[in-house]
Amino acid sequence: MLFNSLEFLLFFPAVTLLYFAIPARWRHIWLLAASYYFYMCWSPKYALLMLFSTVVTWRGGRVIARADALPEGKRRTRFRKGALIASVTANLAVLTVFKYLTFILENISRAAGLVGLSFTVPAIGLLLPVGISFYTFQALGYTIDVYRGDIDAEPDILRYALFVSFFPQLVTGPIERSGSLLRQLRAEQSFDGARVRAGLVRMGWGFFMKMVVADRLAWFVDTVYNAPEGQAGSAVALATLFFMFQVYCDFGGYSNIAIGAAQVMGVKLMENFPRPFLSRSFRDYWSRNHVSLSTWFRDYLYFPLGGSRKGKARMVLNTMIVFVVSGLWHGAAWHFVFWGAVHGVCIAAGRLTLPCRKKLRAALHIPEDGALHRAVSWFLTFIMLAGTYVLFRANSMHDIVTLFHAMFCDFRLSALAGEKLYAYGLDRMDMLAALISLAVLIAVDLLAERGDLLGRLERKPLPIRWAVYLLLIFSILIFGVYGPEYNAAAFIYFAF
Amino acid sequence: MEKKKTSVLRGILRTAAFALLFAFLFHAVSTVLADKRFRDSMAAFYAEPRNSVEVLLMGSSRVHNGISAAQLEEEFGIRANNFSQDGQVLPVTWYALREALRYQKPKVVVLDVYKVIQDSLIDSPASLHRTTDNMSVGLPRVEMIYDLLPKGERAEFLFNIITYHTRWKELTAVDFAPADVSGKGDEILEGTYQPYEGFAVVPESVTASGAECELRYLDKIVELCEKEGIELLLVSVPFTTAEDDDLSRQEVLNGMAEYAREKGLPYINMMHMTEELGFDFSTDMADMYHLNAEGMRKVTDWLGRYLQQNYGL
Repeated sequence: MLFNSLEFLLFFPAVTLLYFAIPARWRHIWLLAASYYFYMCWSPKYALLMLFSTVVTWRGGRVIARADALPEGKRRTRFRKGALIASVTANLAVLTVFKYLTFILENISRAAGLVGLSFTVPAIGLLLPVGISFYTFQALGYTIDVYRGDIDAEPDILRYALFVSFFPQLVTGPIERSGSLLRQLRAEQSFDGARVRAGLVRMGWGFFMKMVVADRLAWFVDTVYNAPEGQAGSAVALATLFFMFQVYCDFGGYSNIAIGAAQVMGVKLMENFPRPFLSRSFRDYWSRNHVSLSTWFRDYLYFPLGGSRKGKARMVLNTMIVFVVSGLWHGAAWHFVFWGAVHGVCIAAGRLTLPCRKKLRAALHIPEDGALHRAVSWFLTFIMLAGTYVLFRANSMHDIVTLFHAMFCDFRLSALAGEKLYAYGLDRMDMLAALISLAVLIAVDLLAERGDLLGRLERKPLPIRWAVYLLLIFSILIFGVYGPEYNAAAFIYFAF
Repeated sequence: MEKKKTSVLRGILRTAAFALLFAFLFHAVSTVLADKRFRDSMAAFYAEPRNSVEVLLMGSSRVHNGISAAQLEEEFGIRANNFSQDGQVLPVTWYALREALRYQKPKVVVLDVYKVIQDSLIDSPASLHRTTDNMSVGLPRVEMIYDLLPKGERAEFLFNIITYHTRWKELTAVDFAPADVSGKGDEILEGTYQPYEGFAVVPESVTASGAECELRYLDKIVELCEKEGIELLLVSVPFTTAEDDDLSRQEVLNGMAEYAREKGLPYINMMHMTEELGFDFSTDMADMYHLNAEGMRKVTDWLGRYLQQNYGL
């Protein structure tokens, strides 16, 4: 079930109303049933994979907890490690089969071809299960948390199953931490009008980002990126700019809907996209972009690898490992690996050059918080990020070369002049709507950067609040991309 | 405790007020955005004083463009309304008739049976919109949507903003103006269409059966009219065909004579009355299947006299 579907518009109020109407002790079972229904609307049989992941990680957690009760010694360590390794291996094996097997076999075939051997990749025909990367990572995070002793193993499998399948964040995150979400799922949530209102507004803003901004920009982006040969560099540049906002609004929109929906039910999910394009460095970007994933990699991969504690060379290596894996997490294709590697290089280079840059700033008497430094660092970061988005969106490594060649060797601004601008999938009125909605998005982000925007709205007089609510709802209803002319576009991150 | 109760009550009242305001705006915005092609003609029906219409014209575009309710009233003093729409198949007509009978109690329903050639519950989503978009909110409309459409396709008919919201790009002053209810629901087509050389009327004796799905709903219409004491007059106005008429339209409409006989209903197949009507296929068609203004005038002129003579109107 997509968030931007009529089914969800019926499903969500029904689930929420009943959630508050039934006794607290039944609520987690109700939410669990609703979450599995939500997932099974897409594919009933693939819910078994989620169930498998749930049972394996829950059981792993229980075994670790039982081992913890044993006296210190080899047996205890063996049990603990065994449970951890079994849980991680089983989950990653499922993920590998369903997400990476074709990619691996294709590369084996290519490598075999290089040494003169012939190997035909068999047709596997497995559909990538929606949200598998998200719930697998969330479940693995739980096992590792229990292993580390950060949390106690959850005794109730139903409550744990809800932690893995909680429908607001099931298919596209945020990837929650067990310490936060499990605790909240245990607590009794009461109905709070102000909280429900804030959650609904948050959901509305998420729908605006997805349906009004992202899905409209997608027309332009797809036109250019799906036929890169012969495109002018100016068109590629504009498509890339639009793609940056498309991804942000697609994934950020989903996150806002997820966070808002959970908030309605009294569950606070972590912020996932706090305005990534206001970043002033790549490090800053990864603290604002897909925060739940980047902190997952930090906590469960980068730190265990040693982080930056083992010298500069290890820091660089660890950073590269994390970002290459992150690239692979985003998709089983080399251009994602390349994209991850470029981010790794930029982060590592940023850290290595930090002392030099500090010295340079001091020598030039440029204060770190000065307007000039802020503007220049933001601009440079934004431009470099734009380059990485080309890697992210391009359909192949060959297309990456074509697209960069167009931007650097065949810019042709005339390709966007006058009426030609409207030949890329957005007619004049849609282009106007796209630009106005982008302006609204940027204005809201700038206001939100200065503090709690929803809180400020809540303190406004009733007529102003209602006007904002209605404006938001009708902007989506009128300018949103939906209905029989278009299929409700799936969220980009569903495929991850 | 008292304070909490007041707070809850205030919350409920505010939510209800917001819902009302939203519903009002939702209706207004949906109305502005909706396609206006059949708005005026259907609004003209709802503007008729209750139980004032004597003859109701029902069916597809071929009645909408082929018989003039305005001419019936002006020339024959028969109070009529044309409640037909483009592409209206008989299952849709069945619900449209039920809707019409909520407001009017006509003596005669003149029903175009042309669509018995087409074995489908709806002609196309667009044609169904022409009917549902402009119907009042009531049981027939909701029943029609649930009966004729599969599960995943109903929402856009219940809430037509789903279909029409993209019209924000093409809105004009007409979209904001109130409906023009000065007409009687007719639409007059201009222009002249020449049928292909060698076009001929198929003899009445050459027949074929109508589509099962259409006849099933026609049966329901017949039963409803009987029950309500309404005279049902089946008609088919003249039309031409393509040279390779794969639907055997003329044969099927010839075959309707047998159906009418079985049901004891009058059936006027005007394909075989061109001399009586003074109808000329080379001057009175607007396109292959629809009459132009002159064709409409001739057909209505004949029908007006027929109605006067046979129904005492």
